Amino acid sequence: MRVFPLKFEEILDAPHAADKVVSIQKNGTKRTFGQFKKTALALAEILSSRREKSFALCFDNAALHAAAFLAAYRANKNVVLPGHNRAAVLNEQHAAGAFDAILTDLPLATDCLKIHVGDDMSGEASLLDEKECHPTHPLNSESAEESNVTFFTSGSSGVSKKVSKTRAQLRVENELHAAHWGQRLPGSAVLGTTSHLHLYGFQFRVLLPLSMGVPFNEHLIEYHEQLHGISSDFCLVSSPAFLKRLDTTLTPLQCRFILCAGGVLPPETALLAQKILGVAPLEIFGSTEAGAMAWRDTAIDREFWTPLPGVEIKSGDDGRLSIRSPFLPDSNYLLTDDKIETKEDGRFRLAGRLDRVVKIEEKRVSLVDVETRLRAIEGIDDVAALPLTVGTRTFIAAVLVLDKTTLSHFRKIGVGKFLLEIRGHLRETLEPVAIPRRIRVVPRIPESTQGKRHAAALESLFLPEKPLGIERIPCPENPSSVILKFKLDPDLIWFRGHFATHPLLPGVAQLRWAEHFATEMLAPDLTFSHLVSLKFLKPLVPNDTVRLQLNLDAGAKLLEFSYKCGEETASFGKIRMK
Amino acid sequence: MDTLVKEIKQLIVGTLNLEGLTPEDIETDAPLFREGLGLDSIDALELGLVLKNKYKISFSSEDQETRKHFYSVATLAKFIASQRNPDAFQQ
Repeated sequence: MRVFPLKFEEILDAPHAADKVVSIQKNGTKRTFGQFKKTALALAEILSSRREKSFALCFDNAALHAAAFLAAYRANKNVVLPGHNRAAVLNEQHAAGAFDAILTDLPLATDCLKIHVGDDMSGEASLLDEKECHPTHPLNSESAEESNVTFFTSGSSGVSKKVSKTRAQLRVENELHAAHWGQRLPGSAVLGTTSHLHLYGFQFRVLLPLSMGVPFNEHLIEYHEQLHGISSDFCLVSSPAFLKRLDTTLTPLQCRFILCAGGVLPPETALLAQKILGVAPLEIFGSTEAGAMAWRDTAIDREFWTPLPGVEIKSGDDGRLSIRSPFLPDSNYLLTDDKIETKEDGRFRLAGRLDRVVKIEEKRVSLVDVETRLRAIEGIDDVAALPLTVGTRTFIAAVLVLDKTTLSHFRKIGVGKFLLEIRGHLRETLEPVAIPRRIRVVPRIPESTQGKRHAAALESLFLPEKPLGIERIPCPENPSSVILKFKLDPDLIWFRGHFATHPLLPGVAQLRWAEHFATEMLAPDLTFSHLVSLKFLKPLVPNDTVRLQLNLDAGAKLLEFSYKCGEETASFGKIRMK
Repeated sequence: MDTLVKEIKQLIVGTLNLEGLTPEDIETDAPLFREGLGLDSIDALELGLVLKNKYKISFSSEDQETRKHFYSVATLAKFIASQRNPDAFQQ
């Protein structure tokens, strides 16, 4: 007799023993099937008696989230996964008619009806919010058709994008995952480093274990050491953000199975994960709109993706990926915003995105949304947001045009404090990873002749102008001299286009640095007046290690400087200060 | 302890790529996550790796405890000091 995988509607009526473990709490306490079922059925009864048709799930605890999902399923209500628990944004979404009420285990400061699903393990669902619902919009009328599940994800227009799926779509996809990877789960516990509030985490951390009768962890694994506190065999539902930051000094573990999705796993991270967690991750490529599309086993292939059975892919002239799959509502091709390169055998490689949605550590961030939120801050007149990569990390940067008052405030408090103020404003409305970490203040946003934002010009605003990692060599015998040693970073703005094939450090950069460091370290009250003499002997190129010597004759206000590379002098000169 | 607090602030500034942020901008007792600096979960992972590497400390698998240590620069400094020199801390 077939038991597993269970269909969603079978889970609460499964022939499990009442003490079968459904999930494991943070402190190791086990939630039994009996308790889980009691919570879900009590909530289903409350929901059946309510007029409201659609309920948002905002849970910290993955098991309560699952119970609420199954309760709504049983009561034939629409389920909405807003994908976050931020009260300000939930209020906006409620006002826009995204859902009628909220099911939660958190003390959320929202103004709509909330049904609190308690975690007292007695299985009682408690109605916490007595305030009767006064809907700000007409309630969706009950309909006979099968209710659906709606996800919200970042869209390119800046408004979060609504993706509705029928229960049948979710069911078919879950069945495919159960058939392909489900057999690897029994005998272990499923842990997750990605949130159950989004499709991927919800499917693999919660729905798949439930339908396979395998226990899952109710709380998120946030850092590597937590895995060392797990006593049982485990499978890990993870993402590149977590796997990239495994600690190589910890004792290796033997994980049974690792799923990875949300972003592309760099080959070196796949190898690292295999070494430290004992198994090569299996990657899934998918999106909220399309569901899972393709997979690759990083033990075998770290470059090409294989479409999942039943999924048909094609790429347009611009490389744009379209897919047709049993997880979509109809048999039409869905156009994605991903670019691909296909191989003859049907496998493909990812080649970037086509819209203004960027992935920051697997979270989809809409640049338009970031810009809208920034523009809403008083004193910011215009703004451009862009992704920026420094070292191995990609984050959001913003170019700002400020009004007069704010500009003088900015100059007074300095960029560091101003950035913290901006970040404080955005905290209510943006995901932490979407909040800008670098800013530039400009008189106007650079635009191309067609009036389009000039991406390269925006990015170049963030190139460093001055060398970093400067070592100051002491010269105690002469307090009016300094010697600075630094390496010429190839990313310095001065190397851009000067010259395309043979980059050189221009004379103007050498003069500016001499003046800048003299003012900073020797004479804070003096500034550049005019150039007295200048001689170039040898070009300075990227990656040269340079010694800059500055001598100031304070009485004569004369600054002497020289740049040396090894023992060779590259340039020297004199600047009159004032 | 003051030196340690300064070092940690320098590490935060050096690791996290926040524009123009100086060690002086970071308040010793202010929260590092959500409020205060408003750092994210990736910051927590990166900061954890840097601290472990520099001070040869280890974090517990118990996340409640670790979360407490990561509350502010002050709590991090206290934790690092206690791991480096457990006897001195107990007195």
